[in-house]
Amino acid sequence: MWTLTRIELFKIFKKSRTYIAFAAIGAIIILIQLAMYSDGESYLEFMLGNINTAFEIEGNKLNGYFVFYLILHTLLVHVPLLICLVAGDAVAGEANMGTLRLLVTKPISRTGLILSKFLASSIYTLLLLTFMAVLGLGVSVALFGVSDLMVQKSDMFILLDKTDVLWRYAAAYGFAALSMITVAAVAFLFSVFADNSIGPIIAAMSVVIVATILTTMDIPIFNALKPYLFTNHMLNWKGFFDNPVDLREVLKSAGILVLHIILFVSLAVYFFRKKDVLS
Amino acid sequence: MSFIIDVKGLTKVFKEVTAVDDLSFSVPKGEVYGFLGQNGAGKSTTIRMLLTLIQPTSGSVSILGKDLLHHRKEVLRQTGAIIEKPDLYKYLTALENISIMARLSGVRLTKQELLRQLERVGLAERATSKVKTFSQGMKQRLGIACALVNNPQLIILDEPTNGLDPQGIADVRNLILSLSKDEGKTIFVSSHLLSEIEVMADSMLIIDKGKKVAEGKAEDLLHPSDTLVQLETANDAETKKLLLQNRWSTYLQNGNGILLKMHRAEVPALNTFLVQNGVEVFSLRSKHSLEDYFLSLTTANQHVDTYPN
Amino acid sequence: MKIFLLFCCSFLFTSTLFAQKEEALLQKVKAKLNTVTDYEASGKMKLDVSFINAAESDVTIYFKKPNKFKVKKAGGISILPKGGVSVNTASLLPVGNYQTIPGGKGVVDGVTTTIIKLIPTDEIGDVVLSTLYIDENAAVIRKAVVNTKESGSYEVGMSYRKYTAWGLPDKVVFSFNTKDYKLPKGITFEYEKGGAKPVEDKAKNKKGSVTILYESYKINKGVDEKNFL
Repeated sequence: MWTLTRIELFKIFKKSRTYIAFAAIGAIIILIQLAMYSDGESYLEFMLGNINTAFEIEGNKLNGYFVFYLILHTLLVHVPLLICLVAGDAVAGEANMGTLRLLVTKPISRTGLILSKFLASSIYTLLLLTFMAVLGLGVSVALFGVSDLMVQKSDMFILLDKTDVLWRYAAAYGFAALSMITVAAVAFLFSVFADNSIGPIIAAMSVVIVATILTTMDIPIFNALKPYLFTNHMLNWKGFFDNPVDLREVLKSAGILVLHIILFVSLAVYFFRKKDVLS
Repeated sequence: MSFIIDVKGLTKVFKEVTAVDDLSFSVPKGEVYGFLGQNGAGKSTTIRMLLTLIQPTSGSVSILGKDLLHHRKEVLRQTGAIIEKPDLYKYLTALENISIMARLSGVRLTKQELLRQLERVGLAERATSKVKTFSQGMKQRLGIACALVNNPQLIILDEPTNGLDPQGIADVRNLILSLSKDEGKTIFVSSHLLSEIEVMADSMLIIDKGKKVAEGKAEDLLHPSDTLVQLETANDAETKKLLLQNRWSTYLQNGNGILLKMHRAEVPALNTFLVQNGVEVFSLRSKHSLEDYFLSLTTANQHVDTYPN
Repeated sequence: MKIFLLFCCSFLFTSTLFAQKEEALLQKVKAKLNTVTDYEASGKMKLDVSFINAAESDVTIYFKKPNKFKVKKAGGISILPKGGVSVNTASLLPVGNYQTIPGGKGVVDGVTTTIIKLIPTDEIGDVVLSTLYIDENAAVIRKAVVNTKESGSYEVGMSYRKYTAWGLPDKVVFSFNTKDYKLPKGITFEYEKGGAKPVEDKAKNKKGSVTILYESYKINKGVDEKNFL
């Protein structure tokens, strides 16, 4: 299994497509950091408009933690699309190249093959997130320093002590990993059915985009739907920035995401085992 | 005789189309086994079922004495294959490709050993070039090297000479013959060209519309004891009269022109007889039924493929 | 009629007499506070506003006469309500012209205090009315209720221990009214819990307070101007 996964990772990292996501994330992070560095104060004015009318906030508001929170807030909506690029290609890309039939005629079980591919996609996802964390947090802290973190919710303004922030980022990283692997699982499932990678990539992106739009629109009829959307639970990495953390709610979301992953991957395994490889 | 492949009642139905219909055949050990049929006859579907790419609707496949369904991994460990064109990872080098295939096949080879495998198909010098820079022939050779990397007992090749130039075709053919004769491997090779199969196959199977048409030793199929001899002479009526007065009369068939059905061994005697009797022979053609069959297939194909000018 | 006139006169007289007494008390308090030119104090600050979630934090408080005041959290962020300057005792005392009205006696934290109402007569200030509860014995303000034109009304409660001699409190509780806080969820990308929403306590939502516990003062040792930037 590990040999298979290593082969899959080797293939992933030999493909130029793989690096698009790293380049895109790197570019977005650096752009946000530059923008904040040059004109962060006016962004803060805008963000804090509501609270600034009644309160005076003192200190290094535009610090590394705040900038990284902003980066996560922006990126975790877009990273799923980049993950679809690789996970959607996992099986369908090989079918398209004709190499899938080579793999299936090798003395390895189909379940092992598909699981190793999923594992490789997941590892890729984790590497992408790690890259994002290192670049986003490391450079932001170097540029903007460390201070308390302001978090704005729709009905709450939270100020977290700077000594109380890093573990939250670590936990949020774990949660984000789970969210992104859920997206990878969706793209992966679609990938099993297709003989070219465009189809599953677009399909998975569409699912993520539609579900995200439903999640972010604050309209009562959609709100009723939200607890059933995995994209809604994906946003619960922010639960770690609540004070105190509503662990029950966060774990519930994490559990729902894990169930989604198990469901999507099991379906992928089931259909792949039955699939007639005709490509 | 031991059989490497033993297929019984193999059937595959896609929705409403029966691609392979109750097919049974046996491939003897150590032979080059030709699998003939026109495009769409069900060759690829059959080969894909032998390699577990497609699940049969019914029937059984036993390879190397083991049931394929229940001993898939053991069987595939002893098998090497190229299906249709040899698709490889174009963004990887030849060495990386063969290395991956070796590991997937469950064998661990050193770089030296892998290079030796590439050398065997004349690609050692291009080992570190990306496959996307390769010609069709080079890809084919690399595909064969990949199929052989685990030193398989059984090699399944689906249309291995497709898209190759005459030199490439000759190379592949020589390699197949050498693998069979020198290394004792069993090779199951499919083609839609009789001419290609007849030069290398020991046995063959012919299918059409998913059904078996003929199976047997190539010798027997290609040179059956009863052959049809068509004569063309300066005066066919006179020649016919002459033949009727001799022992050849029993061989004479009805129909246009002069047609005789006889044992293949007697054809030279007929020729001598005609010459001795001063018959001016324009042509004497011995035709076997297989060739007739294939001629009809290719003619049919030409009809389909010809566009009006 | 005569009786009425007499009553009026006596009322004016007594009130002026009282007012003079109150004014004297006020000056006494002022004089005490005037002995403090500047201070740097360390302490703890706790903000209690329904929509702000911030833990109690260690802060440094800087003051310089006449009215420079800053609360800073070392290496962190501190939040104070606007007009939070009033957390500073010195700022409770009026500047410019004002009228004093006696308000009788009142008890604050078990201490009997004299109530003085101050009405600024200048139009420029924001303050409309200040009610001060002054501890005569210690000559310190124990409580103040301030009504403003712009920022609504707020209340400051102070308790004294170690620094009574300087007129500096150990604890200040600043209570104020808050506005609503609401951001669209489309901006915050928030997780939706689902289920019934808890009923909001409107009354509670409208009140907020800041508590500062002063632990130690460094008085009249000089405070760098940059601390007020």
